[in-house]
Amino acid sequence: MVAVIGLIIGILIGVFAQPSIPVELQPYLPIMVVAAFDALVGAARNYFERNFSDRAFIVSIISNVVIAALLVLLGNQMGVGSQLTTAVLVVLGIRIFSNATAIRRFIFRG
Amino acid sequence: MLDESSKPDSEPATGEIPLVFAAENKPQTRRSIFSRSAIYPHTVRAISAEAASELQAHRRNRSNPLDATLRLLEDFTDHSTDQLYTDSNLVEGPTTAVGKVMFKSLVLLICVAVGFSAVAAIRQLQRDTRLHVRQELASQASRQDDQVKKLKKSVDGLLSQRDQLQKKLDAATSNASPYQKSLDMLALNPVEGSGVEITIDAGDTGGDHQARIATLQSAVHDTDLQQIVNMLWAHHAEAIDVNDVRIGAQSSIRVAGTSILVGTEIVTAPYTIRAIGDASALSQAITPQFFPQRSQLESQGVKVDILTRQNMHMAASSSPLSSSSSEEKAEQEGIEKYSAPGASAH
Repeated sequence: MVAVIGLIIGILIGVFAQPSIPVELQPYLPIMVVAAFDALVGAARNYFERNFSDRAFIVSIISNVVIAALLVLLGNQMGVGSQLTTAVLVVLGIRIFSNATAIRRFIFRG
Repeated sequence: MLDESSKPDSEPATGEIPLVFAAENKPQTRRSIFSRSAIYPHTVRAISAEAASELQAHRRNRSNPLDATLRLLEDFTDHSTDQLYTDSNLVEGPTTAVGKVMFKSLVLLICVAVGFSAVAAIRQLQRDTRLHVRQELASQASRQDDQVKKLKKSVDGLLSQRDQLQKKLDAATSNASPYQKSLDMLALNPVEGSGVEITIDAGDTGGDHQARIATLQSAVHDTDLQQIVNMLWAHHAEAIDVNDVRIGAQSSIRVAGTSILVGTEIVTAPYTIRAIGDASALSQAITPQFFPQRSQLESQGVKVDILTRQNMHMAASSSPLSSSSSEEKAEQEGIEKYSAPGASAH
């Protein structure tokens, strides 16, 4: 619940504050957001499975975001930025869908 | 839902999957995520009985359940949540209120940051980031265009200035007006300078003047003189005369009976052809390459000699167009006029 509230607050602040992102961070922001969403959905699934832990969530989201950004940075340095970004997005997307499926099962099966 | 098992952390039999421990059999120590029991599919995990049996059947049907690639894909699709959540069940969470509030606050802050970042990312993608770049490029193109126009104008000015200077230079360096050029072409201007003197004379005739003249008149033809004069013009002679008869661009060398006429003037043997110009170049005019008749003339007893002269004077051609008289012409030359028997007087 705290996470959901925090998410809503963050969205509202973003909508009204109209932030501008530093140019250096702009290429990595989308992948970092997707990685954060993967961690959020994973946390939601574990919440439904009664496995949720704040510490695990914090570690999970930070590590996901940092590793995703580092992968994209590494890919850009090696000249395979778009390919590595695609690979990361595929993995994160599959994880998000798997967790969403599990959440849906918990919600509709009770 | 948890199932009981009697064998915690032991190697399973093939196809068997020991399930989650009961509370009384719960391990007392934390297990590393990289531990053997964590990697095997039969680790501590909360799964229902029917899911476990499905999983068991699936494993039995696979040809090589321990294949690394298949395990990777299976881990990827089946274990889509962080294993930390499962491991956190083995450890007591924060018991103090401060600790709980602290972690909750951290979760709140992180989620606020995630929401904020998501909105910022979406806004940035929707924004036309190229607009500013396009505007900047357009202003640069406009400035460069103005610069090009200024430079073009400057270049045009310099070109016209150059043309004017070139005209002045041409006028200053040109040594003849069209009238003067016409006079040069008609050989109506006296010329002075270094050049060559070609003499066509009979060989040793033993002092017999008549034999000498007869040899020359029989051997030397108008075509021979024409060839020599043409070659001298071709080697950039500025002025030519034959036996002091000035030759212009329109002058003719032709035979009339037994005499050779240069224009309307009769020239008689021996023949002296003078040319003013570059002596080294003019000397080539009577080489066998340009005057092949030389060998034939020499076989007939005619000598063709060439001498270099440093200071020669050629009078203007005696023509109705010229205003100079014959006396004036002789005065300009400053030398005794050659007069051979039969030569016409000017």
